[in-house]
Amino acid sequence: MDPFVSTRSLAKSYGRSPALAGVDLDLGVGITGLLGPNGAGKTTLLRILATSLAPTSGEVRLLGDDPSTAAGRLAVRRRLGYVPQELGLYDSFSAFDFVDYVAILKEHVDRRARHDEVRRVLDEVDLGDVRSKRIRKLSGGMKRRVTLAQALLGDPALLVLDEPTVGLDPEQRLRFRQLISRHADHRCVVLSTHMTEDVEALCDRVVVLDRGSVAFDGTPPALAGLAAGRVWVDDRPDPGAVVSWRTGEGRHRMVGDPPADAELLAPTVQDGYLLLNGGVPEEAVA
Amino acid sequence: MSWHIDQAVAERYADRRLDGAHSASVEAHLERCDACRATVAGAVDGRDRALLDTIWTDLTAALDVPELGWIERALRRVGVGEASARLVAGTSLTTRSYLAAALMSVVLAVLASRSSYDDAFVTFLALAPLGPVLATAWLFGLRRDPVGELRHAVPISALWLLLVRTAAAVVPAIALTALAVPWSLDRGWLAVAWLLPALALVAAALALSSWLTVEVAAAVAAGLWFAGVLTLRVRLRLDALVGALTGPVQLVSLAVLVGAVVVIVLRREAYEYREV
Repeated sequence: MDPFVSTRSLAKSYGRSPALAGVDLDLGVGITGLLGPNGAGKTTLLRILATSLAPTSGEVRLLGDDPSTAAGRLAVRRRLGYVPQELGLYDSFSAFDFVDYVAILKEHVDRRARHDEVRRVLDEVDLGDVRSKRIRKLSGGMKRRVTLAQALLGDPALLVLDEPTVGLDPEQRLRFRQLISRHADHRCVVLSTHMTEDVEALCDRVVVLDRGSVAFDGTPPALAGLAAGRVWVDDRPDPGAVVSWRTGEGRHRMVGDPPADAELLAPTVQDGYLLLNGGVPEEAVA
Repeated sequence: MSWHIDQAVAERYADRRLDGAHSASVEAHLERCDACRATVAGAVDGRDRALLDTIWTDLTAALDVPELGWIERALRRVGVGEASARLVAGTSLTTRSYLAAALMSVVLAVLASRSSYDDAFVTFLALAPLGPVLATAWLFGLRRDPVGELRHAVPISALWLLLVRTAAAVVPAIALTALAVPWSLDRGWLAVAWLLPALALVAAALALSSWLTVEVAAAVAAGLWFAGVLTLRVRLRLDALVGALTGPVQLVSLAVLVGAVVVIVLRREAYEYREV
């Protein structure tokens, strides 16, 4: 089966600044997480996959179509759901009004069918009971679910989500993860995140970007496995550790080259990511 | 009890198709027979449930119809399709660009009443073209178009959407700027000599927006016009300035308008992607 997303030597530069440098990916059904620090190229890559940005060079095929042509781009956009990093909401609209507005942008012209579809997606994200409520009166978690609802219009085959859980509290994040997980059965979902917990909880596959290039492409257990035998805990921090932080029990968890008698721990995705990244990225440490 | 209500009778009773005597007999029996009450209840529920489902579906559909703002209602009244009207009225902030244009018209009218007549007319011709292009810049300001990035990831043409929303800002802005025209009616067609430059500035802004963001493009267009008018004001006497604004500037505006339309057509693919 052809991959849903295929890129070859994908590159993007803003003037002289390279944002992506030669990215090769093949993504199919399931959830792929994009990890990486700020400036790694995650948003640039997602924008290219969402057809809102043209690459500087390289090839992209989405759902079997070439988005560099007008016909291919239109075909992709008809089967695409996208939640940008900054998708504002019209505060004065109700949840129904907003999703209805986006449905019009997505060519749902017949009013009765469109409204049925809007109700369907709002029910899918458990906002059916509050669809008439003004967006300004919804909680942060509910607003996020409105953004996901508009992406689900038309039952898209490709879902591109740029940091969908940012700003949510742990309970809201858990609920959002459950929603995403529920809608990944028959579609390709690509999401970017700073939270390694999102990757561990959700993703079948993880791609780590570093300065525009793919630093890792594999499963979350494989990413965690990079730190196998290299995670330990002690009462005092070891200056030789790549990264260390104080745990809730008052001890120090460290990643790097452990001493001979170290108390080793099972590695997590975060440990593997930190080791790969060579230290503490901006938001990765919990 | 030897007689019981069968399903056919129960359904006719539920449909109110039994005559009075037969209904009375059924009702008298129901007072004593649990089994027949259950039979009749099933027949009533089945029909009423279907009716209630239909009523609920229609009620939900009616309640979910978005409340139309005045802009959308006005557009629908003049025959604009529902989808197009929704797009034009997509943001309540659209109305603020009209208020900005109205404010400019009021300012121009006050200037006209307080200055010497020629000064006021020149000021009006110089500033009036800025109203529509600044209204466009305001409408598309990054923080005022929440779904901005999404318009480059949906099937509907981003260029068409840009044109529709620009028209939504420009048409009322031009109409409101025209409120100041009565003060210059004795000048004949010169009273609307600002219109062609206004259209040229908006077209130039849209053409530039194939490289820049819309608000930056509009600011560049407005800035170039303002600089040009200021330069003319410094170099020319008042009567010569009026002549320039109503003569050569009109020709230049026409050329800019045509050139901008050509650029928009040639670069139409560029509008389908977001600005950097």
